[in-house]
Amino acid sequence: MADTTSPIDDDAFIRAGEHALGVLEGEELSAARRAMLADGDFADAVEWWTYRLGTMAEATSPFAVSAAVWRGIEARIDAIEASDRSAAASLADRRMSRSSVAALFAGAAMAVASLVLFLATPRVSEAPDQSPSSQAGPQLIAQLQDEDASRKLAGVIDMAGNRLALNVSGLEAESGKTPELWVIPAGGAPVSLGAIPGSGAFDRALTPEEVRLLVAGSTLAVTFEDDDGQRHETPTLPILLAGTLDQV
Amino acid sequence: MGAGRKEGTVTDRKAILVQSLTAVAAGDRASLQTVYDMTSAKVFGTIIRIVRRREVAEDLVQEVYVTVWRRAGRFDPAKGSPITWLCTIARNLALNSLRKRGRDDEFGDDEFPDLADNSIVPADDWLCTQEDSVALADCLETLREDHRRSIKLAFFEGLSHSELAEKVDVPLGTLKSWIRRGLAGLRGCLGG
Repeated sequence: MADTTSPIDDDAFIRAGEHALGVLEGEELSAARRAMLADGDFADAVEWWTYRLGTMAEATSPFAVSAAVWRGIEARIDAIEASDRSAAASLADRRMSRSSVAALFAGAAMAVASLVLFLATPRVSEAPDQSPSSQAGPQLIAQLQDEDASRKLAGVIDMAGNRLALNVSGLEAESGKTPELWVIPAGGAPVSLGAIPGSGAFDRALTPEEVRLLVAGSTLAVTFEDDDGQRHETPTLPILLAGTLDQV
Repeated sequence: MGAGRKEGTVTDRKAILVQSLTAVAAGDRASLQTVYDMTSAKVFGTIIRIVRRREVAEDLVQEVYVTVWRRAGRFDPAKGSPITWLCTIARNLALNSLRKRGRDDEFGDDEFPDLADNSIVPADDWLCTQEDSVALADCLETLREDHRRSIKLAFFEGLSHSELAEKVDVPLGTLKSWIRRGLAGLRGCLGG
């Protein structure tokens, strides 16, 4: 975690604080997102601020909740477990169609995207981008995160250079498993983009077929799959991360 | 919460919470209730500060603990305290709800229209004396009022620069300056 001896300059460190606080918008937000991918020191500074500012929530006054809340939690967990058992049985029987899985991904994308880091959501239309990176060509960006920010994936697709760049954390799999990236075109079935690392930076060229699938509005998702060197036909539940690709 | 758990030392009770989260990750429903009993008032306080409506806030409390049930294995005590982890989940869920539902702008920062005075429960010192949260609270107090309020509004209401400028009715440039100067003040204070 960065501290005040961070190697980035004061202005960038404060900008990291603005990003963590969630106040950036428009081109400032886009620039911060790019910096999160390209500049590990900036990402560390954002993490420093996110943790420090996050403790603000602990200073709120505690309030008593109604007795019905715990009963509601138990009922919801009962329902989830029943649903999980049903889905697992379907996958085990190989009776779930790829379109059914796609529908699950779409649902997960909506659910998870709504939980994606609040600061990652642009609130106003993008201003004309004058930065060197954007002048190189259009980019697609996805920032995926689970509820507690323990698993994150930031992805940039360079449409001109046909390259995929990822920065991943918290996706380390158990032995014999690997995280696998999927793209789900709107209304289509999931297509594997292959294994990705559990953490760190990752960059590779895209095939023409992958470029065709990776368009704004498509969903990116990650699951754990068998680490057998193959691209799999059908994803395995649960969906770890999911969210849509946005054009910058 | 059981009396035994309440009477332990601060260290004991934090350890119980960490152990309970570990057990939740292994599927122990009773441990989830322990976590709930020990933290729900604080989690509810975080959420009601953002969404203001008891009914909505209690639904979100349920979402928090369902999330904990499914993701307790991700909690890493080396990376932060259990209550920070829980409050982060609570805040993110509450802000997302706020964006979908819209804000209740008619209420002031400290107004909670759906809560009776007797809903406030005594602060759990073992939760509130986290070193980092106290440090941040102390540092916030050193800021100018307009800087502090802008940062707290951004944090608790998920407002962007332009939304904040509109809410507090100042030019955008002024608001940005307040935020940046406030953050610079916090950095200097927190960095010692």
